[in-house]
Order: sequence, then C-alpha cells, then structure tokens
Amino acid sequence: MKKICIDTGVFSIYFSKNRSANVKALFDNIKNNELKAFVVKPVLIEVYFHICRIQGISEANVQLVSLMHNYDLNCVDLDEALILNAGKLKCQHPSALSLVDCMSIALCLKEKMEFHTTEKMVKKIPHPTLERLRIMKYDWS
Amino acid sequence: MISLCFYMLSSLILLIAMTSKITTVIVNRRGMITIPAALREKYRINEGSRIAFVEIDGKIEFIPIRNVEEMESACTASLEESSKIYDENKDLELKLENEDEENLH
Repeated sequence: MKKICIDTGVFSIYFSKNRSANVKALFDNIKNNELKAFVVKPVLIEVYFHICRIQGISEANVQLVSLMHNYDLNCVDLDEALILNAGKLKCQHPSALSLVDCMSIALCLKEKMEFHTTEKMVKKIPHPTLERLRIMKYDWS
Repeated sequence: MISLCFYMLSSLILLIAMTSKITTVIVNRRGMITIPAALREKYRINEGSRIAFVEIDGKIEFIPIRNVEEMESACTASLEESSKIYDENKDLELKLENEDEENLH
C-alpha cells in the first residue's frame, strides 16, 4: 500500500464546506485503505487551531476526535532522527519552512513518502535534500 | 435585618438558578449511566453512536464522534475563508518562530 504524509493545509481544505474533489478523493482512499496516511502529531494541533478559529473549541474537539476515529491516520511521534533532521531543515530555511513543515518533510524524506501539501514554497527552495522530496500539491480552489 | 433577608433570598434564587441547569445521573453497578434525553437530542446521540471520553484539566469530557457524512456537513467555512485563516495562521507561526531567532541574535 502506498504511504503518504499529509500536511495541515490539506486537512484545512477537507474541513471546508466546499472541499475540492481531489481532497475528498484522497480522504475516501484513506478510508477505503487504499492509501496509508501518516501525520506528525503537531500537524493535528494546527488542524485543531484552524477549526477552532472558525467554529470554536467545542466544534474543534468534536471534529478532531471524529477525524481520528473515522480515518486510520498513523500519528507519528518525533524520534531522535526526526528531531535532528527537522531541526537541520529549520536551521537551513528558517523563514520559508515552519517547524511543523520541517517535521513533516523530515518524516517524508526518512520514510520516502509522498508529501501531500498546499505549500507553494517547498519546491522552490533550492536545496539538494529537498530535491529528493516527492510532492503532491493541492490548490485552494 | 432587611439586608440579611435580601442576601438569603438572592442566594436562594442563585442556587435554584444554578441547580436547575445541572442534570445529575447515577452510575449503576456496571459503571453505566444514562445520558439525559435533552443532551442526546441536542448532540444527535442515538443507539449505536460512539462517544469519546477525554480527560481534560481534571474533568471528563464526553465527545460525540460523528460519522464522515456528519463531520463533512458540519464544516461551515468556504474554501476562500479557510484559505485566508490558514495563511494567517502560517504567517503568525513563521513570524513567532523567527522573532525568537532574531531575539537570540
């Protein structure tokens, strides 16, 4: 089964009322076990914050718990290798990548997974390590 | 004397007002409780519904779990609004992270 890593922006599209067809299809594929989805745990905090800003704390609680129960998301903790690699990426690209981006990218590079993201910046960063990163980009339209 | 009576009366009114909002249930021998009907109705909890129990700040929160359809239909923001909020969050995050770095230098 193909392994992928999902970024906050993709979840944010999913939690929009007129979510795009490709994001809906992505989540259907995860639900049907056609894709194995990974997410670093801090991404889920960003998703919570996103929902919270739109609909408040109670709704963020319900939606996030429902997300985690309905989809078999593999929530990844940071190990030593991920901490060092994410830290290195943040040092090299402090203003282009957030700490959470760095954690997701470090995971993708370590596990050779495709990175599903809305970030435009990632591919534009000239860096040999990031050239190895496989990206599936989603748009907000 | 009058002020004492007034104080007691207002305390009683406050107590009644507070207790009238709290519904209590009794846990049975098997640790089961009945969720009050008003809450079941409000949160659309039916037979077979799943509920998550989460301990937060010394309290147990009951969080009803929605199915995919309910979850998706509960989203209220348009893609445009969602995109705007995502960008704001991202900018704030990067700003805060880099402010820390600037302060270090």
